Amino acid sequence: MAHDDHAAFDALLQRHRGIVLKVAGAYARGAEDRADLAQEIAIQLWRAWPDYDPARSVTTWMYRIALNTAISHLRREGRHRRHSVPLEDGLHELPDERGCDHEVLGQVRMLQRFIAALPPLDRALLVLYLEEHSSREIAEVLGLGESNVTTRISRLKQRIREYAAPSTPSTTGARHGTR
Amino acid sequence: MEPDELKLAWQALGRQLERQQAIEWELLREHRLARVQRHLRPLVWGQGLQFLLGVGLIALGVACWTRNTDVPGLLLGGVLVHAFGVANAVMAAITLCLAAGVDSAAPVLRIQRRMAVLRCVQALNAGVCAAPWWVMWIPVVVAIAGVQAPGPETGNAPWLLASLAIGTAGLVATWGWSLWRWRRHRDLDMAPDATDAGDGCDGIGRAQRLLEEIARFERG
Repeated sequence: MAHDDHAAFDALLQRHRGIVLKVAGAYARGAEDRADLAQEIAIQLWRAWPDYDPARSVTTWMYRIALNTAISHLRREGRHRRHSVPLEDGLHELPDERGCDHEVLGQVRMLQRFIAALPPLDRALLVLYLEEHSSREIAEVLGLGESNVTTRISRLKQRIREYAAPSTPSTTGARHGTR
Repeated sequence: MEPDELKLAWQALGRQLERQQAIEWELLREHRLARVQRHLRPLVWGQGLQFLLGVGLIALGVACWTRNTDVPGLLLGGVLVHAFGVANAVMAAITLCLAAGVDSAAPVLRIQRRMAVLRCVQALNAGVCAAPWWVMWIPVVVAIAGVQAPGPETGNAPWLLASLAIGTAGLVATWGWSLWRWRRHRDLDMAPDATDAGDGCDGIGRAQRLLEEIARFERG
């Protein structure tokens, strides 16, 4: 029984490992931190696995746990490292640059900088938006109202445009958000 | 960069992360996972012990003051220990209830809010149940003496008074330090993850900032 349980969990994790990796990628600073966070998320998923209700969406369940774990990790690591490691250390360190052309590489780096400049809860919203979840799904994961999600996504898109605009690099909302 | 381009960049990042496969999935071997699942968090252990300590103090305090209603010093010592025991047990029970209610699969904002409240209660717990040990060890010693068979008078008032004075000074200094840290961080208005007192003094302040951040996020 325990073996079956483990096998089912293992299969689930393999099938949806992208969720773990992307959330870890959005909240971690550098490769080592990313691996640590991914492991932490996997452990939290395993702890919560006995209470998982198969009637409910598995991705919603995984995103909630992954994002909660990542936000707590970011707050904890932020407190420990802020005075010793500059915020952007490791952000330019892409996991694997093979197969990326120069333009895409630049965009990925800009995206990483933008994500790193966002407060933890806004990051969660951005991750879910970039994963192309509907407003209803995002609302369900975050615990926000659907209309609130729609409004916030519009503002986020505006901030992205402002952030990426070459003429106004220092007037971005994202940067202000890290105060 | 337009949102569509951003999504393409995000997909490229996702592919890179997938390719990297740097995560040590061997962590997820069955025996290790089973161990993780059985593992009780230190918070639960710590608060469980505090609850038991509280019950023990209540028993000691009651035993002392019920046997010494005619000795003001022992009566007072017993009542203080009794009250301190109640505070320990209640704070531990509240913390345990809050910790038990943290369901990591609940919506993100609900969990983050609950974590902030838990952090706040833990900080209060430290102020109410940990710092007073500067002084509370004295009534505990008195209460232990009060439940033992009466012996010859020892005339221990001088050491009691000296200990009480030192303990009170330590307690006031600890609470003053905590208050100073809290005010300092509140005035600086830093982000929840931007500060760390390093000594646990700013737990309430951090919890407040966290709750404010959640409220700001909800308001949009």
